[in-house]
Amino acid sequence: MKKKILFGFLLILTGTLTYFLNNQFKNIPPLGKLLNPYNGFWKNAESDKINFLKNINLSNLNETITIQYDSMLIPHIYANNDEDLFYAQGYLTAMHRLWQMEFQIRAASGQLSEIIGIGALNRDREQRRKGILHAAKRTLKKSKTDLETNKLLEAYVRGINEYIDNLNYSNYPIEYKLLDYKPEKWTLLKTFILMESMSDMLSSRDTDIEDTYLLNILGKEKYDQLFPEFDERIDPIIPKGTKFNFKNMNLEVPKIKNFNLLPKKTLTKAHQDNGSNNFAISPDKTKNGNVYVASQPDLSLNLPSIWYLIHLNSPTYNTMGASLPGAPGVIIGFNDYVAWGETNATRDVVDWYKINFRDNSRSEYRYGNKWLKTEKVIEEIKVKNSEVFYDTVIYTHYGPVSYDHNFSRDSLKTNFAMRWIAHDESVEYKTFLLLNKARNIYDIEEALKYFHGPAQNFAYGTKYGDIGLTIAGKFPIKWKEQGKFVLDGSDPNHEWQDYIPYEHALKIINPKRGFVSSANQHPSEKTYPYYYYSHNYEMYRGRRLNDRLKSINFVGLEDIMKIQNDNFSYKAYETLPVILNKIDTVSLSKKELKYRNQILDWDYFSNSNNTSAPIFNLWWSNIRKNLWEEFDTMTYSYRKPNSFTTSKILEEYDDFDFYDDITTKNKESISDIVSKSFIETVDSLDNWKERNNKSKILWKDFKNTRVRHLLGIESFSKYNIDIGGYRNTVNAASQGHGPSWRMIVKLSQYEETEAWGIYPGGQSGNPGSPNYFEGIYDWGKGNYKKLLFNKEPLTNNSKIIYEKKIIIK
Amino acid sequence: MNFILRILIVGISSYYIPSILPWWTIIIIPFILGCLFDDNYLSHFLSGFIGTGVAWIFIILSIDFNTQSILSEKIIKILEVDSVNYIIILISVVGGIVSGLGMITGYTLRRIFINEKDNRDFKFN
Repeated sequence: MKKKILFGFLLILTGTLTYFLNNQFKNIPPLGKLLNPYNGFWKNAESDKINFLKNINLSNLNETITIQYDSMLIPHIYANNDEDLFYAQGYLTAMHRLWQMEFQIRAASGQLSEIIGIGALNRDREQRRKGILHAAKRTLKKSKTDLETNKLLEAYVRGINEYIDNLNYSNYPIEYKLLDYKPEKWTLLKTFILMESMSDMLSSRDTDIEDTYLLNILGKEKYDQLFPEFDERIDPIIPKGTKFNFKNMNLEVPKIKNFNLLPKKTLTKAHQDNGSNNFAISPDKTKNGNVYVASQPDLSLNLPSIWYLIHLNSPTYNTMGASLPGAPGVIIGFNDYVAWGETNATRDVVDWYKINFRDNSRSEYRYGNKWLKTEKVIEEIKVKNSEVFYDTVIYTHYGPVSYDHNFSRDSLKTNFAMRWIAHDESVEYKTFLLLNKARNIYDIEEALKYFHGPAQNFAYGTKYGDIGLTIAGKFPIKWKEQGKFVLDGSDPNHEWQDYIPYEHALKIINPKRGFVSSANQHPSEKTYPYYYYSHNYEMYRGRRLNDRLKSINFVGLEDIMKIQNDNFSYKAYETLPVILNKIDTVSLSKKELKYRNQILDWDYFSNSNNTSAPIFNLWWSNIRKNLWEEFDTMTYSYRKPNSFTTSKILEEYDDFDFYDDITTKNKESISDIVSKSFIETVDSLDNWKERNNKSKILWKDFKNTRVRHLLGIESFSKYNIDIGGYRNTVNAASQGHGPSWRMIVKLSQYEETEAWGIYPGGQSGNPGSPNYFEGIYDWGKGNYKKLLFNKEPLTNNSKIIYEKKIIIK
Repeated sequence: MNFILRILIVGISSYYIPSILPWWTIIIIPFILGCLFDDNYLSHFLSGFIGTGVAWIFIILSIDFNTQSILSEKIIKILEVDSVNYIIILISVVGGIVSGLGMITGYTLRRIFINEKDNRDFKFN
């Protein structure tokens, strides 16, 4: 008996111990599973870039395929038919980026809590309440009607799944092991969620509720002064003076209602620095009569990078450039005939409708003189180490009622439905698959027809010397200020009535000035016959970019590289003289004067080793903080006037309501604010020196540009990158945002297409690969890599580090 | 002699477990050895412990050397451990304990069915 008890005891002891070592408890990772030498994290470490590639195993091909990797680890796929091509793209992308692909989909569709835990619950709820999944499902349904595109999308999905099916724990990407979960099957729906997630990043930002609140408090006149729609200084994407040959479509403004019961806290907003710049230069303006196309999307700087470089070759395609892991084709790139790049076409495509429910059951809501039925969707959110969370989201014909008392503790009457263009069905992938094989501007125009959103400024150039820019996207026709503030959901007149037809989209082809460009600024002058609006037009980068492009003739490759890496701060150039003028030098100490004198000599370039940029930027942010401190007393979500408007007010007004600090008895002047902010700045800078043990404050150290791993894991991220620039410079590298890909393409009638590019990260998303951090250093330094682009597989070439040929008989 | 033999068997089996099997399958061989061989508890535990522990140290050191600690240096920061060596020792000890426990569990099973004279403690035969 004793022996049996002993056996039982040991069996349980061993079993329990093993169980604990194999499962995660609270925050303790499963040590045995994670650290063991057979299939723990050790297996994710790579000794070189090549070994890992030997795992390629494509078993569902129709014809022979050749895959070559160059030294940048870019796959060059040479397939004999399109299905094989996209099938291989799916497979090879998953091989390097599977975890990121899944994670991005989870983040967009609100399924992070399942792998991260309760900390992500609020974020998940917000994502569900924006109706991302709902929108992706509609688009999926629509896409099935386009058989040609659908066939290729499905080949891509098959490729991803082929890779997933062949995985076992040992070769799961490291993040799965750390968070202890499994990859799931990829679906077409996920590929569509990816496009919704791009919309979420680029077109979901709005301030309708904030502005309604501000309008109520400030009154129309003051509101318009603090948040103006236009300024005479803007240099729009479609050059000033462009004539439009269609009629003014401005609609009559219906009766407007004022709403007081607003949500106190609004949904988390996409980062306002999501922007970009692109341009194309015509042969008349370049050194050798080539066309140049340059594109630089400014997005969140993450590892693994949002982009994956790829070269796709088949009898129909020969295209290369940056792809989005999870989406087939090339998003920003080129082929033998054309090149194209996108920047975000900021425009207000999110509106909020106040919903009046008939009763507390919320099954009907008022619309004109009718009651319409709602649809209730119960969102099931799985939470790691916790119970499932259920959230009821009510859908109206506008969209989901994102704000209601289920979500926040607002009143029962505070119900607002979201109308967002991304909720509509669309076929964006068709655009890219057509662009990828476009041969001239007609093909490009045809492709852009299908692009609904997130609206983009497509700049392009062709081998034959044409350049152009089209603002592609689906935009509602609006009456003046429609949707700038919350709208009345019970009034049918408040609804979007129609969309701007594609023939009336803003575009230019071969303009006289010899270039097209965009950098998230206003799309056109007020003369455009349709009303448009955004609270977030960029006021500086676009002007600098155009100034540069206008000033150079005989443009060469070097010039374009310089422009993409231009660190000139237009903001400082316009603002610094104004504030320097207002500072009360008498009140400054000797030390403070030293700082002031230093900044006097500044040439406004925020280069990485510059020492004036830290002073200006901190000073300016202190001024804004001290000037608009009244706003901070508000109990609702709000926004403050932007830098451009602030600097304009300082320049124009010696006396202004907001100059006075409400917490003091005296009446302050602007000079007081500017001087006080400067003293605070010097103080903080001195503290910074002490804290960081440095004698000089270099801009790169002070700014600390970083490329962060998607989970925020420090050792998987790169900090303090040696790079200049800031949010309002062309080289828009701020702390966590910046040029996520730099591309320059040279097109010539007589020569093959050539291209250069760089992005901050490696092709491999594995922190255990020597390639993981690869591009970061050169990216910061403004160096480029020549991209290898060929029509057929290279033979015996030293530029190829690995080749796999799969022969199908 | 079967102490050394057992270490060798455990060590070799621990070294060659394919990566498609879960790590805890290291327990199977020691368990069987525990059932087969007659010895005392301490000797059984130690042979499992040493066999697996040493095998794991070897495997891990060779991986870490080949990859120049490219990943382990990053993982220790997540686990808040100061050095890669600590992690190698920690996990090898864990592997050793699991293996040793497996072996004595097997041995207690043997003792249920085969009635043997009481073993002397602390003598390795």
